[in-house]
Amino acid sequence: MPPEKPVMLITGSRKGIGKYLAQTYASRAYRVIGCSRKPADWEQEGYEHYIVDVGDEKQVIGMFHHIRKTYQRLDVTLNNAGIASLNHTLLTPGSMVENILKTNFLGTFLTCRESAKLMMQHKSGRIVNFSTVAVPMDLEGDAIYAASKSAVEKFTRILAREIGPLGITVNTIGPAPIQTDLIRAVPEEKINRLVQNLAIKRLGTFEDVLHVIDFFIHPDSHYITGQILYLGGI
Amino acid sequence: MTVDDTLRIQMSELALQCLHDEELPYETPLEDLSAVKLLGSHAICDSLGLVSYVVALEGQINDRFDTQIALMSERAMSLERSPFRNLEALIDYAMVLLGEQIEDSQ
Repeated sequence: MPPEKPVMLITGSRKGIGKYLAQTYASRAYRVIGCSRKPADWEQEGYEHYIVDVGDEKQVIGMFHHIRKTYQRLDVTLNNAGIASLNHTLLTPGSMVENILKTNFLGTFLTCRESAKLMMQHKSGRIVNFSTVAVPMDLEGDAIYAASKSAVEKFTRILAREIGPLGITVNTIGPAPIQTDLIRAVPEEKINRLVQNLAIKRLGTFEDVLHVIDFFIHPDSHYITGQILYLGGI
Repeated sequence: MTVDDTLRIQMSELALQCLHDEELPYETPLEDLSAVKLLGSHAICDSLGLVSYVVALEGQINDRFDTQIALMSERAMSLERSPFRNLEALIDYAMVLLGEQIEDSQ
């Protein structure tokens, strides 16, 4: 029997914002499925964790096969998994570019594709991808990370047109820097400079991100798709 | 009747069921699967309809046989003759993928 609760998939849910979102939505009567490359060190009722590299097509297909068999539906996907690396382009090895594109873009693509296949059965679904304010800011050292997220944004816009007729919306959130592992290695001076470029001069919070996602996945948001929403005022 | 024959009958039933579920037009009883065009000017569906049909069929096959085959793949797109040209070709192609997965799992 399909579960009565809506089913949500969150990638990169082992820690940071993914963990926060998974715990929040699980406590709000969603059936939450999370994934990451390593096992999660936390548990919660209504939450199930998969060990999956989102850049590995076979692993992603396997996870969706399980979701389809177990739940027969998927209502929401949050493509949160991402990696970052701050480096001058001239000092960036090709392998690093491959890794970043694999997780940030290929991972988003694969998860969107498989999510849409499941969602289209019920002619409804909400997908939220993750970008960053680093895309419009054109920051030195962020070329590869920002380029990978720029690809996610363009993909979102075109995908929205392809899956709109199937009743599925896809939007992208571009958070301002949030105190997570992703920016731990970024020099404080650089973060401060970035924050000074925002209309609201502070770091983002998990709650800021949650609020935007609540908006995108709301049942009444069925006419909102292909949008990129940056936080902090950029 | 061989195992292959049985599989083919099951596969054909799934393919027809999906045509029905997706509300695509086809004659009943269906004698000639190759007459059901999926691509081109005489196709029974438009491009979005083909996507919906292929995704639905892929899901039904994987549910029925507990496999993880992907009908849309680089391999499918690089074949000299498209497996999506008509229903018979698609069933043939799905049979090949299914056979490979069953073989791999043994």
